[in-house]
Amino acid sequence: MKLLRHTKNYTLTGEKKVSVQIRDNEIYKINNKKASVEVEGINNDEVLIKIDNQTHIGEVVNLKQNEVSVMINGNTYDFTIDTELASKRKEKIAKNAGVKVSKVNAPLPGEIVAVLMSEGQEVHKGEPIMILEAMKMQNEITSPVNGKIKSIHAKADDTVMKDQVLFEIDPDK
Amino acid sequence: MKIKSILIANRGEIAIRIARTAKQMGIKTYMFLSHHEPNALHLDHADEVIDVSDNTYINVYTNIDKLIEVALENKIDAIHPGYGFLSENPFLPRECERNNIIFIGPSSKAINQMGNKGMARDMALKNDIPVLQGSKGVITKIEEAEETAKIIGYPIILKAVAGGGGKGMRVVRKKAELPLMFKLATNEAKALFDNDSMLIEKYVENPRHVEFQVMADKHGNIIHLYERECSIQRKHQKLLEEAPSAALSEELRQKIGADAVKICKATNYYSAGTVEFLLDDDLNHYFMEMNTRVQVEHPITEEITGVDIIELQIKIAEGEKLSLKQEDIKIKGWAMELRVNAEDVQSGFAPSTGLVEQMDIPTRKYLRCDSGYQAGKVVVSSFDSLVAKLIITGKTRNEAIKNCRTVLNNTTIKGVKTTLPFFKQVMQTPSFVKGKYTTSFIETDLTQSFYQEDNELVAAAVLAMEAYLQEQAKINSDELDDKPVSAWAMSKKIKG
Repeated sequence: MKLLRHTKNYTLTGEKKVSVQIRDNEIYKINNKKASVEVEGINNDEVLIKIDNQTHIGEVVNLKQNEVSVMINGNTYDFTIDTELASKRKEKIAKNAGVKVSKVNAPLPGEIVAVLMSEGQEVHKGEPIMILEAMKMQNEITSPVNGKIKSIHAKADDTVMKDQVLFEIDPDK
Repeated sequence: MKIKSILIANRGEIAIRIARTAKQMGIKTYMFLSHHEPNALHLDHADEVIDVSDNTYINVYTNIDKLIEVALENKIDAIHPGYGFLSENPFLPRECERNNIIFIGPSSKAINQMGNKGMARDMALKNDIPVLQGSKGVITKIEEAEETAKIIGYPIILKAVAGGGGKGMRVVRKKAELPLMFKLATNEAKALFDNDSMLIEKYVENPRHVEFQVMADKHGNIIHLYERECSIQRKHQKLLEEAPSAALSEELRQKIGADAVKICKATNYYSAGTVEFLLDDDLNHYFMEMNTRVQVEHPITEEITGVDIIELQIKIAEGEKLSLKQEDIKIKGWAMELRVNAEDVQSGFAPSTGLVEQMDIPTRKYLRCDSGYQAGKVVVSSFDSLVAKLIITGKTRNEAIKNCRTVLNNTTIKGVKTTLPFFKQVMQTPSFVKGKYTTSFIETDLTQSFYQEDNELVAAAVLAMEAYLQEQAKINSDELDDKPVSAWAMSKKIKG
C-alpha cells in the first residue's frame, strides 16, 4: 500500500469537535487553519507538543481503534477519530434516530439511599429521582428530560453496579 | 490513667496521622485490615493489624459491638474514632465507658447535645451567642413552615434536624417555592435519617464559613486555637481551607473565639471540637453548629499554632490538665489545605476510583502531605474520595499561595482523576488571590472548575491525532512485511 500522498480530513469528536487536515501523513491544518506542529517524546510516556510557538506537555493514556484518550495538565480528553465524511454520516444518523425512552444508569457503583419519586409521576428536567451514595457522597440522580417516569429499577438500600439502569423516563413530545 | 495502646477505628490518612503522634508518645497502635482494602497503606503504620477481612458483611468502622469486642479481646486501653464513621455517634463513648475503655473524644452527652442542631441552637441562644433567626423548635407540617417563613422573611433554608454535611437542606427563595421544597426536604430527610423534622432558618446569601478549633480538658479549662476559613465548598463539602481567615480583624477574631469557648463551657465540653460560624456581608457572625471530633482540616491549625491536636486529644482523654493557656497560643504564618480527592473535575466532580498508577508529591520545607495512598494502592468506592491533603504554609498569605502553585506544578497523580486541576484554577482566580471570597465561590467566581492552558484542547487533539496516525502507519508497515498477519491485526485493519 502506498503512503498517503494526498490530503485527508479528520474530525476528532470529544468535548468539542476539532477538525484536522492531514497532508503527506502530517498535520497540515487544524480547524481549517494552517499550523506548524511538532510532537516529540521527552521521557517515560510524556510528549512535548509544539503548535506554532506554543508548547504543551501531554501523554497518551489510551488508544483503542479510533478512540484515543490523552492527558494534559491532569485533564483528560477523550476523542473519537473519524474521517470528516464518516463523522458527518454518524451525526446525521444520530439526529434522525431520536430518543424514545430515556434510560438513566448509575454513574458509579454505590448504594441507593433513597427513592424520591414513583412510577407514573411527572418529572422535570433536573428533578432528583433517587439518591445514590458512593464514596460517602450523596449524588442526586436526576431526570435528564421533562417527562413521565416509566419505570424504576432500584429501591432504597439496593447496591447498584456502575451503568446499571436505575430508571426510565418517557420524555414529553 | 496513661494510655498505652489505642485502637484506631479508622483508615486512610487519618489512621496514619493518629498513629504518627501515638508513636511519638510511645503508645502502641492497632488498626483494621478490612476486605475493602486488603492492600491499604495505613496497615504499614500500625503496630498490630486486626484482620477482619473474613467478615465481608460488616463495615468494621461503623460497628460498635465489633470495636468493643476487639478492644476487650486485645486489652486495648483506648479507642480513637478519627473523623466520619462513628466519631460523632454518642453510643460509642457510652459503650466504651461501660466497658472501661477510654474514648478519645468528648462525652456521650456532649455529642448528643451538640450533634442535634435544634439543641445546639437553643444552647447558643441561652448563652447570648448570635444565631440566625429561625423556627422555635422543630417543624413537621407545611402550615407551620409557612407561618415561620412569614415571620422570618425569605430567603429561608430548610434543614433536617438529624442531617449534617449538607444532606437534607433546601433553600427557599420565595413563598411559591415552599410547598415543593418542603415536600422534597421532608421526603429526603425521612428516607435518609428516618426523621422528617425540619428546622427553618434565615438564609444568608453568599456567607463565609469560619470555624474555631477548641480544646478543652476534663477540668473545665478551655482554649481555642483560632479559626479556619472553609468557604471553598462544593455541595457543602469543603475542598480548600486556610488559616487564619483573611476576613477577620483581630478584634472580631477575639470576639468570635470567646463565643466558641463560651458554648463549650456551657456544655461542659472536653476534647477537641470545632465551632462553626457563618459570617454575613457585614461581618456579623452567627453560630451554626459544633463538630465534636477532630476534623479533616485540623492540620492547618497545627501548622499556624504549633500545637499537635491529636496529642492534646490523647492527653485530655488521659485526664491531664491543659498546660497551654489562651495567651500562649499565637498565630504564626499562613497555612492552606488542598484536598486532593479522586474526583473528575471535568465532569461535575464525579468520584473516580481505581488504581493509583503514579503519585509524585514534591518534598518542600513548606509542604506537609497527609495521605493514605501511594502508587500501587487502590481507591475503592466504599470509602471517601480523599487521596491526599496538601498542607502548604508561608510567612504570609501571598507566600502560601505562591508555594501552593509550586507544589501543584510539581505534583503528578495518575490512574485516578483528581481535584489537582481544580486547585490550579483556584490559585489564579482573582477573588481567591485577594482573599475576598464566599461559599458561592465555585458557582460565581470560577470561570471553569479546572485549569486549562490556552489551546489545550487543540493540543490534546493534535496528540491524539499523532498517536492515531502512528498506529495506522504501524499497521500499514506490518502489512508490507512478509510475516503472516494475525487475525487480530487484520480485523483492526478492516475496521480502522
